[in-house]
This record gives sequence, structure tokens and C-alpha cells, in this order.
Amino acid sequence: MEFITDLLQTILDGLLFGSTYALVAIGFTLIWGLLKILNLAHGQTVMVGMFVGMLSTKIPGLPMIVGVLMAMIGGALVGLLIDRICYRPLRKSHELITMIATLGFWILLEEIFIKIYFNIWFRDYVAFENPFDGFVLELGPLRLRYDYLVTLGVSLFLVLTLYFVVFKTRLGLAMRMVSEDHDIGYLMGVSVAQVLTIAFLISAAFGGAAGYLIGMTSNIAGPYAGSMAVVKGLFAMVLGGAGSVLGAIAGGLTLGVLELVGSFLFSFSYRDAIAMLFLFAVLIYRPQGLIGSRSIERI
Amino acid sequence: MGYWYTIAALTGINVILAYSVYSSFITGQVSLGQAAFFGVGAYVAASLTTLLDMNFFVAVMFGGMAGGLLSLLVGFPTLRLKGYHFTIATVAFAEATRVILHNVKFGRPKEDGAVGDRWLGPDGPVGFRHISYLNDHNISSGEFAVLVWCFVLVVVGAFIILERSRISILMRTISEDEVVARSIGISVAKTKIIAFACGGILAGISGGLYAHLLTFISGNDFIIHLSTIALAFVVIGGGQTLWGPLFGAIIFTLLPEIMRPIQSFRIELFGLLILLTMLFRPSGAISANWVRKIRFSLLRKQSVTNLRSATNKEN
Repeated sequence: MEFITDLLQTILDGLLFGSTYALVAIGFTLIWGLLKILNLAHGQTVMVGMFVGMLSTKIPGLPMIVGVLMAMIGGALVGLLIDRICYRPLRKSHELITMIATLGFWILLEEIFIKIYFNIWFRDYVAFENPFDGFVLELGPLRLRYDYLVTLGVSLFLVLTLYFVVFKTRLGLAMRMVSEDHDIGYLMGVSVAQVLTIAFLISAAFGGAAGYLIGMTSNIAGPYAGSMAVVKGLFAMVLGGAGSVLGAIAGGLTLGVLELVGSFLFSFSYRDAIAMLFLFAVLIYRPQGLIGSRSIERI
Repeated sequence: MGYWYTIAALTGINVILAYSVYSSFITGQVSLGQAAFFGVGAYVAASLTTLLDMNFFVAVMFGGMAGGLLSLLVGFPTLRLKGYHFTIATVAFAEATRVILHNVKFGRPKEDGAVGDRWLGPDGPVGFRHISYLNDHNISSGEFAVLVWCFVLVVVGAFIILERSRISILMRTISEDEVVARSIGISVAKTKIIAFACGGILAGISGGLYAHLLTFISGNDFIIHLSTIALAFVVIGGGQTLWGPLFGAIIFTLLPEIMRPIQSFRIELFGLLILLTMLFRPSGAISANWVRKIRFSLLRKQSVTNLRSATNKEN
């Protein structure tokens, strides 16, 4: 009985924590859906969001909402840079070129931030103050950490906002148009470049928010967070099904559950290996992801 | 001077790693998982020399074989994946392998070590220490560099032969259009698997060399960064001809070392270089057109003289 309770608790924690992975994956999937490029620099928006969020907690009396907003703006600025440097000038070239360009941007920004961290704090990690530390909501035998609940709340709010933007506004209509076909978008009078810039901004803002939340729940902020986030977000996106927001959410939650349950049932040190082998198996049997329809290849 | 020998050896290792990516790249399989084969090759070769006192050359070959076998394990199930799905499957596999390498522990206790340092062989998260084959057998860093470059020469020679053969045309046809390739009777699956396995073998060999150069390796050496940089060597150097990976690997290993005065900013420089090359030469530093032009201008003189002597004879 105790085992079942523990397992349930782990699954619940995984779902709550997985919502941050889902946020990162949504950022990936937006760019993938509209441009069919892998934005490897996306992790840097997470890292900058974490950095800005950590600075915002140093200001006493600042409400958390403002901190999240600041993190989102910080992330969005990075997104704008990625758009202007790595994507715009390479619009006509092969998608592999853009991917390698974002890799260059990733290495460049990460190294600059490592230098900054080290020069200010003389170490790799800085404490990220968690205002909800130690608060727990008791639900029968289950215990829910407050910060996880807040994470879920913020993620849910952002996802609903995105849903509203994509399906209820003119901008969303233009985005869906562009995701179908760029050229037809031009012909219909959609300013494609502008729509894509906005997509980069939204994607990066999601990354920034995810950075704040990941930093808050894990209590540290560090320059290597971007590299971790890029792997986790990429896998969450592919696990659920590349290109769909619903898939990104499903993938993020699955990845969160998988990691925690894997470390609970097997061992903590092999937890990443379990999640990755699961993804490898999913990719082989369902290349379209958990959610996502099989695309028929016409010749 | 020893420093530069080490850099020379490292450059050679990177060249072999770049060719391991190139091998499957020309069939249209973009692999971001070379770190797995590299890492396994490093662990296997290092274990064989330190624990079993095996000959260095044989051990490195075994490392290559381990990389090749592992790449078959990846290659078969991922055959039907296309484009990015293949790439991401290789990343997933490489990350899983990294975590396993990070935790693996075997070997035997070591008598004459400092406290906390009494283990010969991979020691879990601590890493694999005391890969001291080169030191034990009095192989200097210069000799090792020569050895590495012998490997490089063999690999480059093999690729030159491949490039002039029919097989390379078949491989490039697959990357252009798989359906067309199948329709003219190319065995697509076989070619792809063999190309990927060759890549695995090369990555394993370069991993074995790397382990002996560094004398200390740990699972975290083989993160996604390594795979992406290996791919970057090929894309930046140019994936259209076999000279691209060679150029890319040499330039991108040497350039940060040459820039000694700004050495603490080497990695930023590396990132910036990748970015700039992609922005200004998207088809890579050495494009097929360029190679053709150089070859043409070299051959033209010769062919003109040939032509003249031929016409003289007729007269």
C-alpha cells in the first residue's frame, strides 16, 4: 500500500515538474512548426530567463509575477537576436545550415555567460531564492509542493494564452497560414517575416518563463542550464510529436513522469538513460510521436 | 614543444571524428550521436590497455570494432527514420550511452595509490583514471602524434579511393533522392547501414586514441556538445567533397590554439567562427565548385601540352 502511495506521489510530482519541460518544448515546437528548423539556441533563452529571474528575486518586495514577466522579456530579447542573426540572413539556405548557426550562437552565448557568472560570483551556480520553499499542500496521503503547483499554474496560464492567440486572433490565423506554406502566405498578403519574428519572440518568452520556473523549483541558477534544457525540451517535443503544441505538452509531462518514476523504480543515476532509451524506442515504433498523425508520403 | 605535439595529435583525432560523421553524411544520414561511439571506443580501448595490458594498436582496433557494433545496433532500427527523426534518435541514443558510461564501474583495486584513488578502470562518476599506456611504454607525445597522423593518412586515403569509385556516386544519389536511388536498383538499406557502421568504427578508433592522449576520461566528456561539434566540422568545412571535413577539423582545432593572446576567449571565438562561416559561406568553406575549379586550373596546363603534342604528331 505504501508502495502504491509512493508511486502515485512520484507520478504526480512528475506531472507537475513536467510542465516546465512542456513549456520549453512548446518553444521548440513553435519554431519547428513554422520553419521546420531545429533551434538549438533555444536553451539559451531558458538560461537567460533563469539569470534574470534570479536577479529579480534579489530585489526585496518584488512580486513573483513581475519576476516571471522580466524573465520572459529577457528570454524574448534572446529570441529576437536568434531571429536576426541566425535565421533572417539564412532564410533561403538549407535547414542544416540554420541549425549549425544556432549551435554557434549557443556556444558563444553560453561561454559569455559562464565568464559573467564566474566573474561576479566566482562559481558556477548561484542560489535562486524560492519563496515557496517548504510549503506543502496535504491531499490525503499525498503531498504537493507549493512551488510545483505554482509552476503548473503559470504553465497552464501561458498555454491557455497561447491557445487563445493561435486560434482566436488574426495573428494566430496568419501563423497557421504560414505554418502551412510560406509562399501562399505571401500571396495572401501575410507579412511572413513579421509573423516569424513574433513566433520567435513568443517561443523565446516561453523559454524565459520556463527558465524562471526551473530555477525556482531547483533553487539554483547556473550557466549550464541552457544545455540541459535544450536536450530535455528537444526530447519532450519529439516524444509528443514534433510541430504540435498538444504534442509538446504531452511529451513534456511524459518526460517528467518518466524521469521521476525511472529514478524511483530503478536508480537515480540511470534515470536519464531510461528516459532516453524510452524515447529511442518511441521514435522507432512511432516516428510521429505519441500524439500526432502519421504523415503519408506521396511520391 | 610537447604542447604542440599534443595539439597535433588532438587535431588528428578530430579529423578522424569528422570523417566518421562524413561517412554517413554523404548518404543523407545526419548523425548527432557520434559521441556515443566515440565514448564507447574510448572506454573499450582504455580498459583493454590498462586492465589487460593489451597492445595499443590492437586495443584501438577493438575500440573501433565496439563503435562499429554499437552503430549497427543504432543503424538497423533507425533505417526507416527520415531527416530530423533520424538525427534526434541518434541524440537520444548518445545521451543514454553517456549516462551508462558515466555510471559504469569495473576493474581492479590499485595498490600504490593515494587515498581515494585506488581503482584501476572506469570508476563510475569519478571517471576512468590512469590510462598510462603511453607513459609506461615510453611513447613520447611527438611519437604519439605521428602515430595518430598515420591513422589519419589511412582514413583520408580510403576516402580518396571511395570518392573516385562508383560507390560514392551511389551514396550521394541516396542523399539526393532515396526513391530515385531505389528505382535505379541501388540497395539503399545496405548502403546506409554500411556507411553508418563505417562512421561508428571511425568514431570508435578516434575515441580510443583520445583516451590514451588524455589519460583521463569520464562519461561527461561525451555530451551532446561533442557530437554537434563533430557535425560542425563537416558542415563548416563543407560536406560536398572529402576535403571539407579535413579542412574543417584542422582549422577548428588549430585556430583557437593559435590565438594565444585571447586564449581565455577561445570557446567564444569557436562559436563566433561557426556563426560567421554559416552566415558568409553556407555551403562550407570548401565547396565542390571550388575543388572542381582548382582541379581544372591545375589540369589545364597539362592537357593543353598533351593536346599540342598530339596535334604535332598528326602534322
